[in-house]
Amino acid sequence: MTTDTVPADRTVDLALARAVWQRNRDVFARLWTWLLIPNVVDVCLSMLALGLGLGASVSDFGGTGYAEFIAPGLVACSAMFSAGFECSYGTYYRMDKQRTFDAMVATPVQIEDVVLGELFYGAVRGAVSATAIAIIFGAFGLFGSWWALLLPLVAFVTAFMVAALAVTAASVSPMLETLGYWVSFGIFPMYWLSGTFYDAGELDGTLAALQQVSPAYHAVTVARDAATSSFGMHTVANVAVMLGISVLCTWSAIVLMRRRLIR
Amino acid sequence: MSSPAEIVVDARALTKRYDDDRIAVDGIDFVVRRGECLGFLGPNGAGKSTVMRMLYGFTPRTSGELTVFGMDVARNPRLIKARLGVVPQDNNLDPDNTVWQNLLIYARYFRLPRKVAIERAQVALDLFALGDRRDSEISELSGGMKRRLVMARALMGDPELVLLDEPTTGLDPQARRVVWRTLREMRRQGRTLVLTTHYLDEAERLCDRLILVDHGRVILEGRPAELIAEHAGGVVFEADLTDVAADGAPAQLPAVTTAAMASTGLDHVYESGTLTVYGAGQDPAGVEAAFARIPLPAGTTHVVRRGTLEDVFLRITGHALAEDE
Repeated sequence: MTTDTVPADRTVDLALARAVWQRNRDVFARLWTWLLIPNVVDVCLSMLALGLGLGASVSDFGGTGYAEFIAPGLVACSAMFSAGFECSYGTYYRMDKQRTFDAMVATPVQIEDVVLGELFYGAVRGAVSATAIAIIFGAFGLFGSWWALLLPLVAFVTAFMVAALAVTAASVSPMLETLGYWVSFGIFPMYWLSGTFYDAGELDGTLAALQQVSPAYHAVTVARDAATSSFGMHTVANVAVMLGISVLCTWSAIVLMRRRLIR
Repeated sequence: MSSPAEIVVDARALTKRYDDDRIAVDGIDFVVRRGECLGFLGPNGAGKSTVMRMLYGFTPRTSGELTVFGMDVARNPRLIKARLGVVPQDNNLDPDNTVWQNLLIYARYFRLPRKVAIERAQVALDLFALGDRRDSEISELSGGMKRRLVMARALMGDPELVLLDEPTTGLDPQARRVVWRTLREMRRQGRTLVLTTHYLDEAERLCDRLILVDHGRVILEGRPAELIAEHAGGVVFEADLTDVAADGAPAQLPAVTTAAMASTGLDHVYESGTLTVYGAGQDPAGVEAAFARIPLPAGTTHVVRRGTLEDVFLRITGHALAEDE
């Protein structure tokens, strides 16, 4: 190992992080129909198959219909999927194949700004997808409370948290292809353990413990609290966990990206 | 004597050693003065690109000192980069955006107001003859156009110092000439240029001063014409021995040839069947006659030609500059 004279300036410049996010926003503005419609269709199909199909034989689930039960979870998970893919495959592609980050850091932009700009973009993309879905679900009367208007905010926080995890995964992925591990061992386990499809209290032992550490579980719980207006101290605790994971993973994403790109 | 021009880059004992102990840059010293065009000339893998990446803080140094505009690169990367234009070796244009958007998006990284960005983008497109390509996708551009767009992009921040890593590698002769013209235009605008190249004609035409590098070290430094006069000579004798025998060129020169050159003080290099004899240090009036007296095996063909930077490089290092060409 050698010890290089590392840059002393490790601050984030918010104005430049914003310029990085604007670059991604501009691309999204050009391609939004291609990027957004698949997200929305996916989730609506899940709702049709599970909410209407499976729901027909699951009566009186937790005091509501099954479709109403899974709706807030599907909204939160759509934010997770959208940000989880954008900030893993999308970020990796920009970093490695298009060398977009290399071009950025030859300007006053530093790696720290690039990472924060990517995370903010992932958060906005997740929130946009989730909001589109929430509007559709709301139109079908699947939310029991006007507090469901908070779902875009919940989706934004969820997407930021997952984006930070995804950029961390991208920063240590040796190849684009190896991001399949992030999908299979990250996104999908979080999805199935999130409590979207069953009452979280039904699990015990190892699965219950895994559920507690799964970031998406906290997101889905908060989303359901909003949709059913059942806030409490547990809501505050779950939001705190999400913010904690976000801060931790933003830090890991920055440190690992710096290690990968500065050479 | 005018006072020496302001020093914009100062590198002392600059070293880059990678984690696998490979030394890319081995304790080099150099300065860049305001308004000049400095060229790093050397074969692939000599450490030229690493030096360029160190100048904009992308590659951290292992040891030594490196200041740009009087500031330490490791301490003030943002302030330094705000005054730099970087043309990297690989075109990293943004394929998700058009030519015009590439320039405007890049301008945001320099915090330019939109009005200024639009003005500068228009000027840059015109300067690089890309005005009719404004709305093209990057994938629709030729190699030469992409290169010009990268250079146009580098001017968005109105840089005092432009770093160009192999600006014309991979371009056809026509496209290279267009790039040279724009580099001269950048100099007319008062910008300082640092470029790397392994093309001799490029180094000779564009650069006021050259630093020849090999294996991460500086081997020679000076003005192109002076380097040639001092280390190669105005004229050079080149003989081709590949056809003197059925089985090709001899592994070594005949003793009589070597002895004749030694007695007249002519320095030479013999590599891959080609004998190069240098006129440097000789009386210019008599050197061609001296060349003519070198005894050579039957079947040898020879020419007397102008000395080049390639000759300088070959004589100093014993190997060619661009072995793959």
